[in-house]
Amino acid sequence: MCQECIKLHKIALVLTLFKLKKGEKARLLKINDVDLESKLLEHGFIKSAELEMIQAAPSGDPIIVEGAFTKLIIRRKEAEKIIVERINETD
Amino acid sequence: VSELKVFLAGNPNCGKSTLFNLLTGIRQKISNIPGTTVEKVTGRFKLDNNAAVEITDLPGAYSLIPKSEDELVAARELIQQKDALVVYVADATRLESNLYYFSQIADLRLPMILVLNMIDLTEEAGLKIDVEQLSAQLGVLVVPMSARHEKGVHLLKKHLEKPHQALQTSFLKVEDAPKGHDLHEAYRTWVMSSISDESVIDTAEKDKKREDSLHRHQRLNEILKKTISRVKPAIDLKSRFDKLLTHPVYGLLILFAGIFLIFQAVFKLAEFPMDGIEWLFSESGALAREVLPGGFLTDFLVEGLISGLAGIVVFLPQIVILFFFIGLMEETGYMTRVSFLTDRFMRRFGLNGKSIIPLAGGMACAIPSIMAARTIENKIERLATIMVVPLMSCSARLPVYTLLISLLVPADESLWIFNLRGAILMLMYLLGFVSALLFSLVFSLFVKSKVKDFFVMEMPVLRGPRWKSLFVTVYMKGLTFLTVAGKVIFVVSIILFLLKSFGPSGAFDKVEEKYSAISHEEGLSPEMEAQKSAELLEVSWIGVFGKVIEPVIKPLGYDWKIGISLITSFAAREVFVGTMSIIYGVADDPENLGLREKLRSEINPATGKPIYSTAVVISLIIFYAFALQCMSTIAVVYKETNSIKWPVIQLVALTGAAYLFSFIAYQLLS
Repeated sequence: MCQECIKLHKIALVLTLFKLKKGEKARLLKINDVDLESKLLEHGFIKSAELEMIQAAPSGDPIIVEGAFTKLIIRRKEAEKIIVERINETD
Repeated sequence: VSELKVFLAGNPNCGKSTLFNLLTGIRQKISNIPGTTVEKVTGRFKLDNNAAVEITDLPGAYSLIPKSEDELVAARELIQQKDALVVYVADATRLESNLYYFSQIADLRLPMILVLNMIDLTEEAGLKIDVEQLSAQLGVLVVPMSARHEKGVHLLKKHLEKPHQALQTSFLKVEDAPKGHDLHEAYRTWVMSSISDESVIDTAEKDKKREDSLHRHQRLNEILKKTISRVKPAIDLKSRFDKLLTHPVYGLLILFAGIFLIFQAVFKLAEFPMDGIEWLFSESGALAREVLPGGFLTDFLVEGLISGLAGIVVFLPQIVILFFFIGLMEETGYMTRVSFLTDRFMRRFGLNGKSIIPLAGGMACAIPSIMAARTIENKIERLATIMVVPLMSCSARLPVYTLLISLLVPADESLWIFNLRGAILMLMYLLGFVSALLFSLVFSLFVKSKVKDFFVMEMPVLRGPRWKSLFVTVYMKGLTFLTVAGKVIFVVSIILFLLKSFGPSGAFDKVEEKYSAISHEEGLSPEMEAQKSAELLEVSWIGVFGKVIEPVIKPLGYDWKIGISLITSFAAREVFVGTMSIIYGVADDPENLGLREKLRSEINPATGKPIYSTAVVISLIIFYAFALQCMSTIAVVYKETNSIKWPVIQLVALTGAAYLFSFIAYQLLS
């Protein structure tokens, strides 16, 4: 894990997309893979975009994540490279 | 008058092919693009002013900078065009991601028309699109459309009548322009280099790509802000239904029920038309025999041509039914949900979530199922699926298993509450499925994807099917099968017939002489006729081959008679039963009681024990479970992979495994 990410992890609300629970919303912070990032960019998953975890498949992998305009199916391997910041609904 | 050349471009699942089907109907041509597994689909139609249009349905893509074979093919086609018109189909419910690819094509400076498809679904998605504003902002003609209701198709045709100019809007960063060069020429060159075979991907290149995409999104966001307003969607029944479909428990239950339904339909519903086709061909064969004089030409017509044709057409009902269901699943967006549910399980075996459909279909027939693997985007996973589908216990194995199992155990023996014969048959289906998974696992260890690829898949919206388009798809699938696989099947059937009809010189004459001497005295009884056919088969080229391969199959416990049946099974596995009947000179009866009796009483002259011992029968059952003995399958695999390599590997691997396992079984049991 890179230095920057460790720092990010220390902030309580920061987690990987995979750790998000059903129905939780989060803001996209960083994608730890250049190729994955460019793929996700095509689908409008840009920095600070709001994402919602919709559903996990049996055994928790893959997951459905809703972006601004589209829903994506993402496998665990990829979802763990996506760093997000949880948005508290109560804020 | 020259034809107007139009390209249909857009993301996967945007309804592009539906629009294509609506425009062209069945006036389509599907061909393979050399060196790829991607199909090129072109069609023709006329505008109201009688101008002719040639339209190409490009493979669905998310980007001009390719990440998949489909995207590469689409990009290569687009970059070659200078002034062809691009009709870009966008899913109106997810405009932001759909317009990304649009903006890239626009920067190639090609004339475009933007089709906003599924416009009828925007309201329930809580979107309001200002079409005129969007058209003004993008500088392009915009046609709102709902392909499902065929709305907008007429308007699109009207627009096609007018001349078109390249787009003037730009999504490129002006400051990127190289000095003295046109910005868009430079972009074209950049795209060109990224799709060339020797494209170098270094950090600088990756940064450039990222910069470009970010800028594009920024520009698109600015435009969309002015054109789309979001309202709160009404209570969404559909999204609740979708939650049910993708639910870990209910979703799987619905899926299994669906697979069961499809399996039943392909298995049972297809029976009637298949019986009808067989009846039709056998009646026309009988008619030909009645009307025409006996002799080789009539034999050739009846047993070669007519039965060869029958062997092809008989598959049509299963193909049509399976593709109807698969088309339905694709059109409604359900297929992607299936993929989502089963992905994890299938992935362990190097397969894809979508593999479950071809595998289930394989229990009816491998041929349509291998064609169905086309829905799998990942090349390696699709290949793995194609390779293992023939292991699923198909309906042609059923008569073979029924005959062999009846030799193995008495009819009334039971195991716990199951009839033993039924239990063994069920075991064979299970064996098929388990071995398909294991073979795929082995395959995935050997064949690995060279490119790093991600499983990121868009979940399409749930929508009702467009029946007209669905029927066009099913029709085209049937036609492709008849013309491509049909040719090979036809040729091989005729070769098998010729091998059966001829033997080394003089061999047939001897048999004929022997029986003509008898028939002169007392005439031939039906038993004698059967014996004569058996002897003729024995001395034919097929019989010769059977004897040639006898040393090879001896370790499995087989003699040359079984050898002949193995060779003729290549036409279709169920031919095994018919060939055995001919060889043992028993008349055909539906239950094969005569054949069963005969086989049970056959004694091996060398050992004095029955030939069809438990060891031999089990060895045969195992051989039929694994061996790739179906020329139609080989023809379809050849067609679908667009290479001779994969069907050969498949033939060697599956038949090799069959040999090995049968050998082990026979040696252990005898």
